[in-house]
Amino acid sequence: MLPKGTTFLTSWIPFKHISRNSNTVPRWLVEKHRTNSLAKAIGAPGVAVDDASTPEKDEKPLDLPYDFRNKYTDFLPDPTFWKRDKLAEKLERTDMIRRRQIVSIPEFYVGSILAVTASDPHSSTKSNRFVGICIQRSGHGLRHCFTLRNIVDGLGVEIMYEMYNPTIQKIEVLKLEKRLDYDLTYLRDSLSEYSTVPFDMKPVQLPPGADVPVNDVKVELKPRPWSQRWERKELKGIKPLNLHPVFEARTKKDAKPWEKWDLMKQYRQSIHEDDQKEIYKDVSRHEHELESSRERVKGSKKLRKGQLNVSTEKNEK
Amino acid sequence: MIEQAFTTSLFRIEGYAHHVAETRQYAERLIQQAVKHGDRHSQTMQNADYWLNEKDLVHKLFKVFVPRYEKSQGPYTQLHMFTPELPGPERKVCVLEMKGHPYPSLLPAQRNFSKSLSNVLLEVARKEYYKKKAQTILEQTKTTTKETA
Repeated sequence: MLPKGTTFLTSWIPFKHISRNSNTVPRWLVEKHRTNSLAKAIGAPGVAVDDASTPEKDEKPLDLPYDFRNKYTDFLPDPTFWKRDKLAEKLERTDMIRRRQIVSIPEFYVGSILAVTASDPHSSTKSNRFVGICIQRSGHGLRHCFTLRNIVDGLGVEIMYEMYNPTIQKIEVLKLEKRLDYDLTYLRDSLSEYSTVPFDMKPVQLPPGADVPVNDVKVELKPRPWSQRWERKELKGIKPLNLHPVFEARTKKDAKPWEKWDLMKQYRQSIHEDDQKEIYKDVSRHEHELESSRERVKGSKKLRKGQLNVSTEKNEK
Repeated sequence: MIEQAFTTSLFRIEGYAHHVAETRQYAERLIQQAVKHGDRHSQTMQNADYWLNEKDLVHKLFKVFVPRYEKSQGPYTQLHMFTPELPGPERKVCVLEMKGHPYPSLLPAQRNFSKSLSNVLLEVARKEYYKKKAQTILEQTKTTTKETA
């Protein structure tokens, strides 16, 4: 018998209780959503559908662009099923688009070089500009963050910016490119030449309509010890490590090669295409609005310069 | 893994609930990918090659199941739960089968008893009851309207 008043750690976890099946969706919950009358009314996919009937929608099927998931990673919600809330996601998206109308958030990837100007009340010019290489992108929705790394006076500096933080005044992409990995955290354990970016770097122009170039540079890591076990991460962007064979044996022992083939794990960690299409509707509308506003600005500039021929009634007569 | 052993069959599988439920997920996902991407998609082909030990089943997946399930929405498999095989562990025996299969069904055909005497009499009695009820409600509304007017 345990002494009276013993509390276990599990009682401090914010869940009501953690049961053996807490990673499963109970049958009553699935039925509740499958037979939901509100979902039926809006014609949500997979709700109370008979085997014989086929889904016939009036509107044209929306084609998702191939790179939508990579270009707008912040718009994709957390795939954990008990965190999904369509209404909350929709409201969050409207807020994100409102912010994007004020500050242009360009397309960038891990490996691109960015310059972020944020407001700093303690500096003489009330802003602070940091240039660095993007090593990581994390978070969903309004909480999406990206980390910029640079070496300043021989000291490695990383700043994690929240993309929708209102104190950010400007985000510029100095060099748009991709790398061989989606996470460049290993730059912390690499030679400093791979993380140094000059603060006065000029933006690199890409030919219009070109694909995002992939920089296949292989980074040389410093000798061990490292902050993480890079030899186990299957990194493509690093030079051969040339470690003792024991490391390879240990990696093989701890490896999980079946995870690559785990269909359900991949499915649960991804957002369904139907939900992606819902998100893309808002995003594409925002893109169209931006394009039209840009054209208006171009047109007005040309008018002022006298380059645009505007036909008026007087001229026609 | 268990799923790999089960999905080699792709017709009818018998087992305990937790095994069969998990197998169902993987089988459905594989078929969904095959339907969506077709047999020219490298990732789908690799997945089919990994999960289906017998290679003629890969052919069956793309040539038989994909055209069968192209237009349908919803689960491609049917899960039947039966009673535990006592004496034995207290676990429901489940059978997983593909929908639209040409073999005889596991469940008995649903018999229609609506033409039996007692049901016919009950149906008539039900109709008479509701007819009477409707008449009484109508009379009540007429009286209330008269009073208000």
